[in-house]
Amino acid sequence: MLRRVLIANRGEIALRVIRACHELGIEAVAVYSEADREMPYVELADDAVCIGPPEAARSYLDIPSIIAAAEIADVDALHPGYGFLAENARFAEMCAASGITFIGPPAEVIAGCGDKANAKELALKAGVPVVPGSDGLVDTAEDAVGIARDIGYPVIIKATAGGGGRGMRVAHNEVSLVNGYHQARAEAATAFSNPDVYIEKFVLNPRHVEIQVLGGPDGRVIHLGERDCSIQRRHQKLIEESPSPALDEDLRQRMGASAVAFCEAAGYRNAGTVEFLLAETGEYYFMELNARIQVEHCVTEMVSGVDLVQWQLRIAGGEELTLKQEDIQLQGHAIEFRINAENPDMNFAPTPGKIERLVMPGGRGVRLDTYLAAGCTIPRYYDSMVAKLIVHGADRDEAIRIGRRALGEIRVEGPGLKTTTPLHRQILEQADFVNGSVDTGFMERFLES
Amino acid sequence: MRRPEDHLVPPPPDSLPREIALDQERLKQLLALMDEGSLTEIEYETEEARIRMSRQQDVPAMVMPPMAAPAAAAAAPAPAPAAAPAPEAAEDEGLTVFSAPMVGTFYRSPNPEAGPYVSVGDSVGPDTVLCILEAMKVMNEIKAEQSGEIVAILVENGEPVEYGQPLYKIRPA
Repeated sequence: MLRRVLIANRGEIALRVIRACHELGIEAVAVYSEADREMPYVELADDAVCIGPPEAARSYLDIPSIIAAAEIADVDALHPGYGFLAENARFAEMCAASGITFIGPPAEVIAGCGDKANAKELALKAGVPVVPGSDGLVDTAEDAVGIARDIGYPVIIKATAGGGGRGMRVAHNEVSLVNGYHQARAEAATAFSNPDVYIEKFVLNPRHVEIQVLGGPDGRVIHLGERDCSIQRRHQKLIEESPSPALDEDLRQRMGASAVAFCEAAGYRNAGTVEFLLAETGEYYFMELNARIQVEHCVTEMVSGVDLVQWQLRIAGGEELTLKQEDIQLQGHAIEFRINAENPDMNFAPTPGKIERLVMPGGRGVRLDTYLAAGCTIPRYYDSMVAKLIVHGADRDEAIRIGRRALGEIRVEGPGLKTTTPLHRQILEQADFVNGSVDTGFMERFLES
Repeated sequence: MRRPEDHLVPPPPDSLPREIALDQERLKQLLALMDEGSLTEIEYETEEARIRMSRQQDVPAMVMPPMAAPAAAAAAPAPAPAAAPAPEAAEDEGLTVFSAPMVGTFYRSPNPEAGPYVSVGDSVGPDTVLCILEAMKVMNEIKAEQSGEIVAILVENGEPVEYGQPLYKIRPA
């Protein structure tokens, strides 16, 4: 059992971990930058250490400062939260070297899963489906045509050095593939000084479906069902729900078994998430493993009744994972709305500043995880997510109704302050969302209309 | 770790002396420019000075690189977190507070057998080592970065200190 834990993070996840610690009788130590000095959650910790100036690079991302804080605060373990140093293998290693238990998987597992090529290889070995494609680079247009014949159209040509859509072409037939191959290479050569491309099957209108897992100290892994995170804007999730409207029990168990197989092959421990692309056809493909607690973990907590952060602390303390796969039964439907201090009308520009009036929702079926309080200032240095509204109903329809009602109660007011709350209310009126027929292209289409 | 002095946070020593020649008129112009454009931040640089003003709350606060010029300092309201308690300010008139530039364990001497780096009454220069802050088994020598006389030592040998915690009071030479 852990005695005293340092939380190497800020905001709502710091508060989330403080709460889990206190429920287990563990002392919680907060670290804070000068920008977070007055935050109410810092006061809720049993102790707090200032680790640096507001800039994250000199505070929450500064490994020596955080390890030094852990040393002077005399903790036996450290919870990294999400973001910042949560998936930094070197940080996990340095914690271990300093005699501090890192609450998460072992450093080598973080490193192994963080490397895309290595993770893909692990998935293949564990029998987990990956997006089919070329084995490495494609050197000629003829090779490209041959590969596409094997994996089937449509295919996507991607620059190996690429990013931001450049050096990418989707091809639906042989003619567009040959043209696209040459165009992608030319574009990549100009943009990245590297013309090399590879080919993958292009998954049409996929959903983002991820499986929550818990791995015990003995290596036994269970899954806690899925979260559907298809409502994203530029790969930033906005709404997550469980169960996914697209999964039946058979698919859930198959995807769950794949996630467990991957994690067992990777030697995974503690809480983690395996992300998949789910095609319209029901085929699913491994994307990556997130070796941390995720923002949207609360959705799973609401439907499974399992406190994931408490289990993180218990597993890190060496406790056996007493939960069995058959203990996990999802009840009802949960949806999470990320409340970001952003102005959707100004291209989602962050709106930091002082909160003068704050009203947060409550009532049946409502969980609110936030670090905000009236009078506090949303710092301009960090992520704009300030609150998570999680609603839980007997079924999806009820969850949507509770969501509409609870979103309508939110007031976050201050000079220049805007949030994504009105945007969520609009999404809840969209027929596609209400019907549960969404994919990762939903937000783009919705914002264009 | 939690002490009332937490609120005394002078700038980190590495950014210390920097001459700034900006007249009040110029500051007013910048402020007007911020208001006009509803800006939250403005940065202005000339050959001899650089100034950054940012508005974090409803009251415009100016955050500048620390400077020696008293005229400019008087024109700028102190940034909120650095406000010192009034009684102490009177007593400490003319003294600067030297704060920990990092988290660590404070040591007054290079090793347990040696005498302290500095004691009250000692004169120090910019390169004088004041103490060691140990973080992750690394002994970091902390230099004074200024000239003056040590007036008070605010922490005990071996005590853990956090970022920004006041360590010394120095009377500038």
